[in-house]
Formats: sequence, C-alpha cells, structure tokens
Amino acid sequence: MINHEMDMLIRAQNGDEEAFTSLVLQYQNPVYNLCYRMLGNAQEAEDAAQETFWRAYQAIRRYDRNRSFATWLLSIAAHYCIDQQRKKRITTMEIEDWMEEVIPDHTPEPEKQIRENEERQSIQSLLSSLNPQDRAAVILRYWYECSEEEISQALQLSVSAVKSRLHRARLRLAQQYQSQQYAMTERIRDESPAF
Amino acid sequence: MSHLPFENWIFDREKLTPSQIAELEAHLQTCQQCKRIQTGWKEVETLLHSTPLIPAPPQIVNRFQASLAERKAQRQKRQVRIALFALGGAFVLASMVFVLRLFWTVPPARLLSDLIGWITLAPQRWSEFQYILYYWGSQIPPLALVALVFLLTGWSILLLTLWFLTFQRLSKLGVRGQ
Repeated sequence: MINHEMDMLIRAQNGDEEAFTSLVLQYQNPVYNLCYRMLGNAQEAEDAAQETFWRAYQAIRRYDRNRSFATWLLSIAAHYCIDQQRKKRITTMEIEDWMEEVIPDHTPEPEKQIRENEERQSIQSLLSSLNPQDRAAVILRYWYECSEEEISQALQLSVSAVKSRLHRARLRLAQQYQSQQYAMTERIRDESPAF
Repeated sequence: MSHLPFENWIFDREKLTPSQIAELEAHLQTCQQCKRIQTGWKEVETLLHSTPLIPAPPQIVNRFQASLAERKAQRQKRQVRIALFALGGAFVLASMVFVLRLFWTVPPARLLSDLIGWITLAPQRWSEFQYILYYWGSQIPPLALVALVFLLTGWSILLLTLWFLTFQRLSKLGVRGQ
C-alpha cells in the first residue's frame, strides 16, 4: 500500500474526517463503477456509493490494515448492492429501462460517446441476466482484476464457491450473448425491406 | 457427449497445457454446443476487458461531506435524546419506588396527618432553623464565616461550570463523543 494512503487510513481511523474525505476522493470511481455495474442505474449507483462510504466511515476503526483497503471498500459496496437487488427483486420492465438509459458522459466526442453508450448498454443487459452474487463476482474479476481469493474475501464465500459462481456466470454470459446476437440478426432481417 | 471439462477449459484457456489445448481444439471441431459457447465467451470477454470504469459524478465528494455532517448531527441528537430520556426515566422510576415504599410502610391516613402536621409546624421549624443559624453564626469567628462563604461560593461555581460544560459537550458532540 502506498505510504500516503496508509497515512490517510491511520488518520481516518483516528477520526480525522479530512483524511476520510480524501479516501472518498481517491476511491469514488471504483466504488461508483461497482455500484453502477451492480444496479444498472446512475441515480441508484450514486446513492449506493454514498451509503458505501457512510458504512465504511462507521466501520473504519474495525478495518484491518493488513488487508487491502480497496477490497474492503468494494466488499461493503458489493454487499450493499446485493442486498438492494434482493430487496428490489428487479422486474423485466426495469431491466429494459437499464438498456434504454443513457448515462451522461463528460467526453466531448459524440461518436465515442455513442459507441461507449452502446457498449455500456450491451454489457449492462448481459450483467442483468446474472443473479446479484454472480454479477458481483464477475465485476470484481473483470473490472478490478481481483483474484479468486480476494473475491472470496469480499463476498464472504469459499474459493470453490467463487470458482463455481464464476464458471456459471461465464457460461450464462456466453449463452446470453449468443441469444442477443441471434435476436438482433432476426430483427435486422425482419426490418429489411423485401423487394 | 460430456462437455464439462471442455466448458471449464474454454473459460480458463490461459491455464491449459499444450496437450489440453490440442484436446480442446479437437473437441471444438466436433461439438457445436461448445463451439458456440467459446465464440460467445470470446466476444463477452473482449467486451468485459474493453469496457472502462464509469467515472463517478463530480458532486459525489461534496454530497458525501454534506451527508456526513447531517448524519452525524442526527446521531448526536438521537444520543442526547436517549441520554435525557434515560435520565428522566431513572428519575421517574426512583420517585415511583420512593413513593411506593412510602405507601407500603405508612398507611395513607397516617401519611396525610403527618403531612398536615409538617405543614402546620413549618413556620415554627423555620424560625427554629433561623435561630440555630443565628446562634452558630454568632459562635463562629468572622474570618471563618467569610472563609465558609468563599468555600461554598467556590464549590457552587465549580459545580455550575462542570454542569454547563457537560451540557455543552452533550449537545455539541453527542454522548459517545462522535
């Protein structure tokens, strides 16, 4: 861990709010991204990120400095999002809303923005086909490059359970992708004018 | 046909030995189901690796700071309310125990007559108390009397300051000091 970050952590554990705020500043992107990938909605992701930082603030004294702070923080975010998903029991309608949603982008290039939005929608609709815990495992594996051990710590699962979840999720994603491609091909064929 | 080892191998290609890769390739030539999974997974994997982190909205830190201040204030208020409620409850409970104890040992008629007697004798007791004070006041040397007044005043100021500081701390920092 970087010395500056460790210094901030020690200060935050001693009740220094400014130090904790600098940790929020440092980790806002990874936490927000995880929440967005889990929940698929910008507003809910922001609320979830706020809740994650508040829970981390309350529990910072119990944080074990031998563990990775990023994994600890992402673990809080993942658990919160999994709980939210369970409470919400997402309907098909909401999944469709995710696909329709266009997240505000700060880049000035419109083509890049459109391409990125398409990718986001595509990846989001694939992720939405997974159950919350499998989704969290995939997000931690591919966006944060967490090892299976780190995922097991973050999600409080055994390593074998993580392996099994990742396998199931990958299989599901591959099948879902093929179905989407098939549906898209069919739609294009139906829409093309018959001469 | 069994797909299980091959399905696992499709997802963990980088961990395979050359002979396992050859075995997988041979299987993919004959199995359409695994072939589809591999094609789909390759696309998904590319998508997963190419999709960047979404940047957090710019207001997230400011919102956190505001929310932190608000939540802390709410928690402090709650703690003060709990502490005051507990104190009040303890006082009411103690009073109730005292009153009950009084009623258990003394019959109500006796209690009433004692109360009337005490009220009747109150002016007399007050004049007796004044006499005692006057008597002891005349016995004590004037210097000791001044010292006593200073001592009592000092203690009163000290206790009042302590009470004021405690009250201020409770209302500003909350019971647990957070």
